[in-house]
Amino acid sequence: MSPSLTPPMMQVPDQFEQQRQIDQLIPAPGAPAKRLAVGLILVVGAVAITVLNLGGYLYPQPMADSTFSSTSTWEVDSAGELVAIQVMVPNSSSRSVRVTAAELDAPGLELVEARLRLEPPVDWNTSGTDESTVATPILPTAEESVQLPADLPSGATGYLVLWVRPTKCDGPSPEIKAPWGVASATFDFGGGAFPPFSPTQTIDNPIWGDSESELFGLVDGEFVFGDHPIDFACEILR
Amino acid sequence: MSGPRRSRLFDSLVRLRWILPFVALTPFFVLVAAGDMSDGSAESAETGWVPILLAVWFFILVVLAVTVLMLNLSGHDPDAEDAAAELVADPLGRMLLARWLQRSRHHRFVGGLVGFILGVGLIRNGNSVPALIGLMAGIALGGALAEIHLVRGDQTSTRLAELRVRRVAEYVPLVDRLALAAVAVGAAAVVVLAQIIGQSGPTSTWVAAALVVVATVLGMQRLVVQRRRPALNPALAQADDLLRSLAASQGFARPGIALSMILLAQAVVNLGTASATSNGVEQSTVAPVVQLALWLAGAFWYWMSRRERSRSLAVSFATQRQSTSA
Repeated sequence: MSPSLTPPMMQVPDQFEQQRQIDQLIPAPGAPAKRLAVGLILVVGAVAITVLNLGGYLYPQPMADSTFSSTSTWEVDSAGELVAIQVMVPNSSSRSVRVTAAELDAPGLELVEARLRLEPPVDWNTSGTDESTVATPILPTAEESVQLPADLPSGATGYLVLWVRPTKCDGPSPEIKAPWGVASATFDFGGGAFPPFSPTQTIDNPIWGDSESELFGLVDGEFVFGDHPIDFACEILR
Repeated sequence: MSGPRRSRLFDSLVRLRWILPFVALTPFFVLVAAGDMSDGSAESAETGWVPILLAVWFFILVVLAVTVLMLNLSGHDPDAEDAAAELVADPLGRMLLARWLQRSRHHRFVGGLVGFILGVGLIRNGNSVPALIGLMAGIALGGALAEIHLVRGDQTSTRLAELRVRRVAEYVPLVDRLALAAVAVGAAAVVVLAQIIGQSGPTSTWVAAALVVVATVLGMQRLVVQRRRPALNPALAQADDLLRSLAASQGFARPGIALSMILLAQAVVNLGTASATSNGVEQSTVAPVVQLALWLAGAFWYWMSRRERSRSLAVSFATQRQSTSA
């Protein structure tokens, strides 16, 4: 028998066949309960990550969401060779951090050593002073500040004590503009702590924030004033 | 409550997904209102009915928000079939498109919500840009993930594959391709400008992110258009072509374009700020104006990715098809 040359009759696909054809192109949707469960797991996971991140548990961010400024008294060490400037570093996160290193971007001043000085813990919830101007107390003695790396507990206010010396004191004063002298610090959660992130963050609190503001220092128990950071450092070292 | 009436209520509630961000802000407004009352008239706040009303209102909002959230997370989509009916006449094609519309919307909603929540965690000093970037990135990623699937082969019969070569240009609207090219050119211009000014750092990061988004969108468009397809009856093949066109434009490409424009806007403003800081001058108005223009363009492309735009996309796809075959 020779094969038929007539094409087979087109058949209207039944519901099962329709479903089969569509399933070949795009997966069938899962049950609503399953989709709800998967969606909820994702949303709850995202909320958990967000809460942990905002609390500073996942990434060291001691200065997140806090605006602060401080003015520092410049002081000279006992040998009369270095000037100490303090920069406020509050830890407003919910987890203790460790300050491992500090840098200072202040052309004309050389950073010799950075240490950390701690203030008693501050209850940020009840103090209600996210924006505060704090006059840094008189220069701490060597016993009051600690070498880096140093721990900064949650809620505590620390001060980076930056020991600097001018690179050059003779010749004309270099022209500089405020804001000038921005410090940055590197933080982690401590040796071996997880997660092992160690970001370097700029401390938004320059040592000379406003050209109108006067610099003041303490030399031999007497206050001295200046209006040019490098000249002032040279002057109080004389 | 009877079945149909409850279903109608659910249908209405699921369309209220836009209410979720407002509900999220409600505690803030309640606290502000409570604070105002305690400042002004502490007595009335303590003894009056306003706090009770506020509490009741807050409770109703929370119940409403949770219901809307659950319905949307479960993929309840009462409009998918009507929307599909507007796109194709063939019943089988309608079923196919309704399924895709539902899948795409569900993935985009979950992605957008998760992205927004993660973005909120990155908000610093009241700058809500990370939340908006997270929202848009989540929508784009969700839309793209909706296209990554493996359909199980039919083991019971012989499978026939369609061997026609499909080109991306046949499926992706010209305007989308131009927008992607514009973002790439803009990114290159920002990089050159940053080099001239001598500023890179964060600007380069934003530019790189924008370019990664553009490259991902292009790759995904190729994947969707060239995805294998079995031999189908002509009507279903036509519906599948339209599905691919919609997927490769409004599904994930347009949210991706919106996201890349927002990332580029951040690069521009970063460059402007860095340039002004390094030169010790006031920031010029050029960078903020370009930033605003890019943000508005991003909002426009997001709007173009909404389901309401499917009909016009389908019409232009059909017109393009006719002119190609003619």
